[in-house]
Amino acid sequence: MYDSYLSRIFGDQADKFRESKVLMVGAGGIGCELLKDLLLMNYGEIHILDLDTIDLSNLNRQFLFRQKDIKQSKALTAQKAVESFNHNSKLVAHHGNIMDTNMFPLSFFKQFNIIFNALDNLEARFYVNKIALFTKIPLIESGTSGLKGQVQPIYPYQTECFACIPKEQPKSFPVCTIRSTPSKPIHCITWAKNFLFPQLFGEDASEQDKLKPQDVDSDNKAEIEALLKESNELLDLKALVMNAVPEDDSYVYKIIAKIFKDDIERLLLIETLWTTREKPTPLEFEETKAQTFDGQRLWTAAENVAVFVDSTHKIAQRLKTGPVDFDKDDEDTLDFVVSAANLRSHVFHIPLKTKFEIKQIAGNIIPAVATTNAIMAGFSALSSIHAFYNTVEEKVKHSKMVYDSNQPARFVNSSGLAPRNNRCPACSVTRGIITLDLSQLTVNDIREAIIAKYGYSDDIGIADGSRLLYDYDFDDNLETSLDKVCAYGDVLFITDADEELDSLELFIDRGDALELPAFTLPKAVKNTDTPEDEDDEDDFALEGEVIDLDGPKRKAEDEKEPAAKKRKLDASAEIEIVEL
Amino acid sequence: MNDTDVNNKYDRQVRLWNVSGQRRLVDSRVCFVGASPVACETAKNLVLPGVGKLVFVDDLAVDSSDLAANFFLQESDLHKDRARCVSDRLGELNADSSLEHVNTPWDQLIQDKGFWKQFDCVVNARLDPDTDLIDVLWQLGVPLVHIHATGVYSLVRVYSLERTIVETHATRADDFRLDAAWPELQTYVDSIDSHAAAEVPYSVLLIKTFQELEKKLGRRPTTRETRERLRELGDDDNVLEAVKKAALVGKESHTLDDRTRQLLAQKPSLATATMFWVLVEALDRFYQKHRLLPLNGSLPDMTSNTDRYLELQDIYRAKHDADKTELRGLATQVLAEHDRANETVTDAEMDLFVKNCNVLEVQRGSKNVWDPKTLEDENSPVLQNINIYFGFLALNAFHKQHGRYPTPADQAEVRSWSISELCRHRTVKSFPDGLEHVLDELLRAKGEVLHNVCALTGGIAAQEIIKVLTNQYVPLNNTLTFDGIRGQTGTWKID
Repeated sequence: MYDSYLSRIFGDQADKFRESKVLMVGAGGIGCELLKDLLLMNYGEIHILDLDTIDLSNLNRQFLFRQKDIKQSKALTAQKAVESFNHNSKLVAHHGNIMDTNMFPLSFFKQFNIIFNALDNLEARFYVNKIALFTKIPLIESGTSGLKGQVQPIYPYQTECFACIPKEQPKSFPVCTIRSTPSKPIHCITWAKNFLFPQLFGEDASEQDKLKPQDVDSDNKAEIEALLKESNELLDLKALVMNAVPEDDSYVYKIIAKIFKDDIERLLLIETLWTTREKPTPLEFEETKAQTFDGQRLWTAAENVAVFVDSTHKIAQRLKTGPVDFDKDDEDTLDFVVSAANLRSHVFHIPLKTKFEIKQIAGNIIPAVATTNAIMAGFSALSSIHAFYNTVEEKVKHSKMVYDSNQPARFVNSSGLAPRNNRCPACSVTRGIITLDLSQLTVNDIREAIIAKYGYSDDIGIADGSRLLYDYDFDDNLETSLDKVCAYGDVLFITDADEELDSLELFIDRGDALELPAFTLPKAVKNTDTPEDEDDEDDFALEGEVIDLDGPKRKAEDEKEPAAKKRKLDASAEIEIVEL
Repeated sequence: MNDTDVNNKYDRQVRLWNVSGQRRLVDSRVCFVGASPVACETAKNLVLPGVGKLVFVDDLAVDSSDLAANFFLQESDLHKDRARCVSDRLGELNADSSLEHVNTPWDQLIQDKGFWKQFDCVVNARLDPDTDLIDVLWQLGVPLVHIHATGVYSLVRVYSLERTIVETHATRADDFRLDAAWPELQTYVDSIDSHAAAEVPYSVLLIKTFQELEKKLGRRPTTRETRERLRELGDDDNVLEAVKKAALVGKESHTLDDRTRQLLAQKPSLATATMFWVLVEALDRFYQKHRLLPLNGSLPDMTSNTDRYLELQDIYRAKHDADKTELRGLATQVLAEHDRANETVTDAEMDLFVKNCNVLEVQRGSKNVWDPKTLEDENSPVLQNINIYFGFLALNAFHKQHGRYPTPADQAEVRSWSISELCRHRTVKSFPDGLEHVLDELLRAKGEVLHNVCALTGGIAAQEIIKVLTNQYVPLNNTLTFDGIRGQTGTWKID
C-alpha cells in the first residue's frame, strides 16, 4: 500500500527502486536525512556505512540520534532509529572505514546499483570516486557548508567525476614559521595543536617524532640547533606530565616557564632571526588558580595561564586511563590548544583569539545546520531517479543541484552534468580489475601476463600506488612473491616503457586464478599542456566579494574566457563545500 | 545540560547566526496549522536547532497517505489524532523544544486573537492560503509562512509587514578607503618610504600604488594598471596579496550603492518610527556631511610585520570609533528633534548598525494571495514557477468546491476555472506557456505528496523561518515554488 503513491508519480520506475540495492556512505548530517528519504522511496535494500561515533555537537541536525546515543556507532544507531518507521526496505549497517579493503573489498561494492556519498572529507570522497570508476556504479555525491550545498551525480566515464576538477588542498606552513617565527594566529594554533599537544601528551612522541636536522627548512645553523635542543628538552617535560599526581599541579608552571620563557630566550639569542622581525617577549607570569572561562570573550594572558594549568593538569590525569587525542569537542584538549596558542601569540605580539574562534580554526569546523542537510539529502534522493533512465541525455539533464540561501533570486539551481574532463587524473585513465591470488604469483608473473594481454611492444613499469615494483632499471623484485609487496585493494599503475600505449590502472581484487580485464589500450596521449596563465585567474580571486563593483566589466571579461576554463573556475568556488 | 553542553550542542549553527541569533531561536514560538508531511519536515528543522516552542493545530486523523510520506508517523498511529501523534514524535528530537497540540475547532480558533498573538511566526501548511488567517496575523503583525506540496511541486510564501534587517551577513569587499585616506592614515602611509618595504600590509601597498598612479595618470587607475604596477614590486607574500586584491581600487568610497541610496532616501515619520529608522536618518546626515559612510573598522588578516599590522589596525579602529561616536551624536539629535530624548540606542545596537551600515536591508511584504500582473511577462525567467503557484490556486479552488483534490478526470473543470480566472484580469492575453502541463501534473498526483519534495521544501521553508525568527540574513521576499521535474526553485514577489 505504501508505494501506491510512488507508482502514481513515478510510474514503473517505482518498481525499480524496490528491486535496487543502494549503499549510503556516511550517516552524519546528510546521511541521517538521506536514510529517511531513501526509506520512503522504498529502496529494496539500503546499506549504511560509517566509521564514526555520535558526538554532542551532532545533535543539532543529525535527527536520528539522541543524547543517550553519544559515543555509539552512527551506522548502527541510525539503523536502529529508523526500524519502527521502516515499511519494507532491508537495512544493513556497517560500522567501519570505507577505505578498509579487508572489510570492504571490491566485491562488496559490486552488489550495489547506486552509491550515495554523504561524507565529510576529501580523502574518502576520492576513494569512493575511484571505486565508482572501477565498478562503473553511479555515484551521487553531496556536500554542504553552512547555508550552501550541492549534489552532483557521477556516471563513471560519462560525466564529470569527483576528481575531474582539481580540489584545493589544505594550506600548510613551513616548519620555521611554526616553530620559531610565527606571525599570524593560525601559526600559533597550528603549533599548539600539531606540535605541542602531541609532544606533551602523545603516545610515542619519543624517537619517531624527534625533530631531525633535515626536517628544518632553514640555512640558519643556530636556529636548527636551538630547535633541536628545544625538542629534546620537551621529552623531559613529557616525563613531568606522565608522573603528575592529582593533588599537585606545580609541574605545569615548569612547563610554562620552559616553553614560553626559556625557549623564547634561546630564540632571542639568534640575532639573525630578528633583523627584519619584531622580537618576541618571554612570558612573565605568576602562579594562579587553575580555572576556565567563557569561550565567547577574549581571555587575558593571566587567564590563559590559568586555563593552561587547568587543562594540562586534567589531561595529565586522564592519560593514566588511556590515550588522549586532540578533539575540538573535547573541552580539556580544546582549552589546552586555545591557551597554548594564545600564550604563544602573546609572546610574539600577535593578536589573541577567543576560544570560539580558535575552535573553528583548530577543528576545521564547517558550519552545519539541519535545513541545508535536509535540502541536499532531498535532492540526492531525487537525483537517484535519473540513474534509472535509459539514455545518458536523460540521466544528465537537470541532475546537478546547487543551493545557496544567500542568493535570493534562486535558492536552488540545477544544471546538466558536465562531460568528463579528458585530462582528469582519475577518469581519463584506462582502468580495470585484476583478480588473482597474491600468494601464488611473483611480480614477474603478472608483468609477463600484462605484456602478453595488452600487446606492449617491449617492457613495462609497475608501481603499487607511488611505490615502484619494477621497471627496466629496477628488477630486484622480479622473483618476489606479490603478497610481500602488494595487498588486496591496492592499485597497480602500469606504464609503457616505450610510451606508445596509454598508462593503465589495475585494482587488485582477491580471486583464485589470475584474470585480467579485457580491453584494448588506447595509444598514449602526448602531454602538450601549456601552463595556465595565472594573470587571468586573479580576475576571479575576488569573486563574490566585490562583484557589484565593476559587474558589467567583469562580465565582459568572463565572456572572453574559453568555456572549459570558465567551468573550472565556477567549480572552484564550490570546492569549499564539504559537509560537517 | 550545563552551558558548555548547550554551546557545544549548537556550536555548528551558532557559527552562522551567533549567540544572539541562537538566543532568539530559543525564545521563539512557532505555530503550525496542519500536521501534513511537509509541515513535519519543516518542524523537524526548527526543533533540531532549538526553537523554544512549537504548537500544532490540526483536527484530522492519521490516514494511509500520511504513513506513506510522513516519516514521523507509523502504522500504530493510523486513525489517531494527527496533531498529537506528530507533536509527541517531534518532541523526542530535542529536549530543549516543547511541542504542543491544539484541537480547538477552526471557526473558534481563528477568532481568538490572544492565541495567535503569542507566536513569532505561524506556518500554514494547508492547501488553502486562508485569507481569514492572513488578515488576523497581518493585523497582529505576526509573520505568516504558507507552505504546501503536491506531487513534484511545492510552494513557500511569506506574508510579513515591513522587515528591517541589520545583520544581513552579506558578503562585501574589505573597506580600506584606498581613495579616501584620512589624515592619520595618510601620515602612516607616508611614513613608509619605499613601496617594496618588506612586510608592509598589502592594503598599504594598494593605497600607495593607487595614489602614485592617480597622480601620474590624472585619473583613477584601473585594476589592470594597478596590478601591473604592483607586480614590479617583486613576489613577496604581501605583494602577491595586493596583486590578488587589486580590484579593490575600483571601489569608490564616496559613492553609495543603489540599495543604500534608496534606503537613505526613505523618510518615515520619525516621531513614531523604530530605532532602525532613527539610525538610518542619522546615517543619512552623516553621509550628507562627509560623503562617506562610517568606517567598518575591521581589517582582514594580512601578511605583515606584527607591529606594523597592529599600528594600522589601531588607526582603522580609532577612525571607526570616532565615526561611531559621531553617528551616535546624530542619532541623539534626531531623537531630541522628535521629542524622543528619553530613548537611547544601546551600545550593542550601535555596534551592529555601524558594522553593517552598507548592507542594511528593508523588505515590505504584501497580504495579497495573488497578483494577476505576475503572469503578464511571457519572458519571465520564473514563468514556470509562477505557473506552479497558479496551479496550486486552481487546486485550492477545486478543493474548496468539492472537498477533495482533483484527478485527471477533472481536467476540464480545472482548466476552465483557470481560463476564467485569467480572463477576469484582462492583462493576461493568452494561456501562459507550460501552464497546461503544470495543471496536468498536479492532477496526476491526486493530492498525494512525495516525501523527498516535502523534505527539501521543509528544509527551504525552515531556513526562511529561521531568518525571520533571528532577523538575520535576508529572507524570501516573498514567493517561491519548487519544480521537482527541473530540480529548480524560482523566487518572485507578489505585490
